[in-house]
Amino acid sequence: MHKKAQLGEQIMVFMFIFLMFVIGAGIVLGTYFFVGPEFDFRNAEADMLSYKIRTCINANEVVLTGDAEQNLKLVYEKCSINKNLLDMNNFIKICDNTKNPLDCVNKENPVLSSAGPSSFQPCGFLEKNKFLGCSMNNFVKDDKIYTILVTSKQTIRRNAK
Amino acid sequence: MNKKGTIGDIMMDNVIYLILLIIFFVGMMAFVNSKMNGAAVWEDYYAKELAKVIDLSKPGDVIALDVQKATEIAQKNKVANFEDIFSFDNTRNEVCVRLSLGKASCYYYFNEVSVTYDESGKWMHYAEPVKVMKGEGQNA
Repeated sequence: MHKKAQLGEQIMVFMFIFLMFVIGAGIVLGTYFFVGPEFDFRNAEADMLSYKIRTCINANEVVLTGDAEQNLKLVYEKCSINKNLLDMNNFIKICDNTKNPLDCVNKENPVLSSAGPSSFQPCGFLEKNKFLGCSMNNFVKDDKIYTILVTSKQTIRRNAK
Repeated sequence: MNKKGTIGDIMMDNVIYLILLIIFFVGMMAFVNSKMNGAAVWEDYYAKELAKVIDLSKPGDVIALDVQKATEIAQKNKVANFEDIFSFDNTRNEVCVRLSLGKASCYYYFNEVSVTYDESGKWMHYAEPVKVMKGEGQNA
């Protein structure tokens, strides 16, 4: 075959693949926008976890002391929360004497702070994901005002079952 | 190059194009089909709602949910046994929902409780069919 013709044919292969890619991307994007993204459950999960811990503390099942590690251990034990899952998907922080709940985000020496997933921003304080999957509440216990911050980063998983 | 060789080359090129096109077409059809009946969306919905119910439950609670929509979708997607739609893994604290023959959608629940069958030993109970009267109330 003529060399120029061969070159033209090779270019056509790339054109063909490029065209398929463009059409495929169009179909995938169109379907994605039509069906919609995954429904966001992180906020609801964070709210539920926060509610469960607050209820547990208010029912005197956990008595908060100055020892943050001990407080965390008690929360896992008494509030029937799975520690492994919490370390993987959630982050909990309880602070005392905070005038503004937002102060708890960066407060050092909190009453309680879970390990949380690595490289996990408390309450998604990255501009893009601000407050996504974040629950922030105040509660009163023994005449003291506490702030509880709970976050969730769990998304749906597709498993072969 | 002889003529037979050239014809063979052209044929080969076209066959390769055709195979690529068929693969692409089948892939796209499978993708669109999987999204069309909304199985993934409903799996997502049911898995998260079940996780929510479990997270808010206490030991001893008995929970009954209407899952008519899930069974309709599963039936469309040829899931033979409705007992396979929902599965609970108490060791991993995970609920999985499968409304098509592919993978299942799974979600963790943080509440340290065990999800068990009721006394009948089944997840799914079939209710009496409800007779829907079309146009009811219009002639009243």
